[in-house]
Amino acid sequence: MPNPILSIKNLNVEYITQSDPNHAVKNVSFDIQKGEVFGLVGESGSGKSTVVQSILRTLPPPAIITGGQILLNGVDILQMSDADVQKFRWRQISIVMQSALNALNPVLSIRQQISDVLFIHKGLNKKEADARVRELFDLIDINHDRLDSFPHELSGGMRQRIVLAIALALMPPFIIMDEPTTALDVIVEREILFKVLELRKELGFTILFITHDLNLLLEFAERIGVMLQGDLIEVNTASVIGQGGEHEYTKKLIGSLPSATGPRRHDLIPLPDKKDQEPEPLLELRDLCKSFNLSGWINPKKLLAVNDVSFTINKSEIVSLVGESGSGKSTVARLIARLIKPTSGSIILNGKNIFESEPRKASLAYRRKVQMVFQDPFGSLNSVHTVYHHLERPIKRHKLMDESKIYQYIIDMLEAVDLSPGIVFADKFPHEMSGGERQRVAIARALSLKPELIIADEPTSMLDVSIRLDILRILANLRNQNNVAILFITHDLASARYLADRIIVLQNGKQVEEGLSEELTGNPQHHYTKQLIAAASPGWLKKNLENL
Amino acid sequence: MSTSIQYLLRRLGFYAIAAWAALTLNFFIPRMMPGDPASIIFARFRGKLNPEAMVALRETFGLTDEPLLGQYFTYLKNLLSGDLGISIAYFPQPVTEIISTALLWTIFLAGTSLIISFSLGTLLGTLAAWKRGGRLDSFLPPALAFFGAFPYFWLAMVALFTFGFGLGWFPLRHAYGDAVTPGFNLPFMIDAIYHAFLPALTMVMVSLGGWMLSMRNTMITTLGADYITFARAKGLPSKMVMLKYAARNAILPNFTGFGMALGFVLSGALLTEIIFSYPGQGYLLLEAVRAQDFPLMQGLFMTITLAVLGANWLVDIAILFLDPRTRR
Repeated sequence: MPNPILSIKNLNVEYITQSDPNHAVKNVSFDIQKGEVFGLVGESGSGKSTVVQSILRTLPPPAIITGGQILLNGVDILQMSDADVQKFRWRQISIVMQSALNALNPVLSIRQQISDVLFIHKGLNKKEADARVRELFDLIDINHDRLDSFPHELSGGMRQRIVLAIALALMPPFIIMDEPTTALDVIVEREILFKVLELRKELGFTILFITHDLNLLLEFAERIGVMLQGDLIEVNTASVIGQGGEHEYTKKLIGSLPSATGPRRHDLIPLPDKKDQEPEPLLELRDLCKSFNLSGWINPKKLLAVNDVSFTINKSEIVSLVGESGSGKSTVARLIARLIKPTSGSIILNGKNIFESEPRKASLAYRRKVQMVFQDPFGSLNSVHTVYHHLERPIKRHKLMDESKIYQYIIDMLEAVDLSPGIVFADKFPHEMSGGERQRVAIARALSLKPELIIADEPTSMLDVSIRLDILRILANLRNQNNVAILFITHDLASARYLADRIIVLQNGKQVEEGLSEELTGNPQHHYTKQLIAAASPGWLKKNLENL
Repeated sequence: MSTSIQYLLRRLGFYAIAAWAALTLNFFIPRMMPGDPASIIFARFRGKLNPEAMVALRETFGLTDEPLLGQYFTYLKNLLSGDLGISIAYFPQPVTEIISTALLWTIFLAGTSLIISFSLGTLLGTLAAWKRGGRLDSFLPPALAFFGAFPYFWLAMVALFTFGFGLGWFPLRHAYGDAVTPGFNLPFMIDAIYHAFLPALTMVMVSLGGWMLSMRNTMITTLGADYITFARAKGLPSKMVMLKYAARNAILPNFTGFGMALGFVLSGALLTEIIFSYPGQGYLLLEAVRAQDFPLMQGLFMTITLAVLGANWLVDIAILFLDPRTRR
């Protein structure tokens, strides 16, 4: 009965560098059966992408395969000559790349990029190739008038479909998908996956699906392998993994996933301490608009990024702004932080319209009261300064306290965001810390000025799944202990539901729905919110596939 | 595509304004300086010229007692009809005639060496980046940086001394020998190439390193891009990946640099032309300054300005073809 199309035996890959040699893949073995969807899940650095690159033999130096076999239909790929590898690529295995948005050559048209494959592997002439390209376009539901488009003229979802079309060009029996939907919005992600599975049903290819998102994998994979720091720690059927699997780490991964629907799990994130007093408004946005000039001084085009947004954040309340890319949520954050000026509308802090009292530039007092945590923990800390320096600067600038007290205060701040012992972390440089630790430094920096509002712009989206929850917990605790209000900006409805008291949904710069977290996720009113929630709920793909 | 044309027209408009501003400055600056060309000629003839001749001279140079604004419009009108006045140093040859001969020689010498240097440098850079750390990559960059580090005039003089004077392989000066008649004939063309060889070689040697290094560096960045890995995974032959996917993208910034260099070609490879006594724009400019030949200087500045602007516009068009992202 077992009929593996791909069989990996004791694969070892090492990165040979003088400073830190790294055993990226350790003795990994697994089989993929013909026609199945096999999922490989792991966090950054787990070695899952290295496995993929080994299969295609595109590993960049200094990575070296130090042992093992990769058998495709019984033939060892690692023993092939370069000429054979070139023939085997795409005919036997094709790939949909991790960041498909960058997988297309920016200066060649879509037609050229698909035709290249057909010219080289099938020796088709121009006319035959053209006919095939059109067939492929039909397959992925893209209009033929897009044939001569260039990648930058297409949306992310469309580009992803084009990459899929390129992968299908030779109808290979086996397709690798390496994080194919990571850069896409949920609704688009759902459409793409649905398309992939529909095509698989029609064409019968085998899929190896690589992702960091276990929730997603549980939707459609038949078997799942879990990788941790180069080891394949568990391979099991999706249903076993979905129950928590056998390995400790799998259990942790499953347990760390908040969900946008279903009953709320109370163990994940602490609820706000009960307070009896009336909500007291802290910050109020009234009819806020922001438009950007796009191009040209002869006939300028305008983009209305934020369109009439009005909402209130109460003292020590967590409000979440949810939307997809392009919804204007980050623009709202930058407006409140006063990094940019609104086109119209007003911002009222503690009952005072700030554009009247300080029209040109935000005052130092305002900056102290409203602090920001950015999305990218790698870019928001200066790599030549220590953690201590990052925290000391704002305190000195705002003359918050006596010089002699600063040191102890900074240590306390670090401990408050679970960077313990604070004395050790104070002397570290950004590159000596993980992404999660850096993000905590950024939070500590915002917190150290005792602000009334912290704007957190996608603070978890660049972090691994298992530490996202830790950051959310820290934010929730801050509110309870420091009485600070938080504006939590995210594309992920599930984390918004768990962290925030209220959720505001933005679409194309417009506020489409607002409500208490549990009510909004449990009973959405606006059709866009309904779509978002449907895309984020477990089982959506299965439900739709059954109707095929 | 219509937006592309709109873009090109907008750029053209911008260059027209820049050209007008430069020409206006070109008119006013010499007139703000003390003295005038006619008095210089008058002085040169040491009083052998009678006052009537002086008036006639002033009129020839357009130095009438008309108000400045009137003179300015006459100047613009003359420019548009291609009349740049009469040279003083080469009296009574018209400036246009002198410049057009020099222009041809400059385009021939500096233009050819730029094109050779750009193509060769880009090609070497591509190969060096493709086989990063290989033989080509470890030998060429330091070697070319070594040559690039010499002061240009020194390198040129050493070359002239060694190969021209010492070994006698190449002529010492001028664009062609006395034995040939200028025109469209083979002996003349061979002789012109023979004369241009050494100056062109020195120019290529000093500039090659820059083109190669910049191409190599952008190429290395490009090779790390996802679409290169994807192209390799597609099973495309490595030559195709190198040229159609990598070099095709990496050449774009280099090409912008080429456009700028193209404009500066016409300002003459000043030092080259002086050292090799080559009758191009640069040599002419030196002569003009020496002889305080204002009309000629004005004419030269104008051609240089127009050349820089024109070359930039051509590059705008070329980039539009090479990079679809600019066609919006």
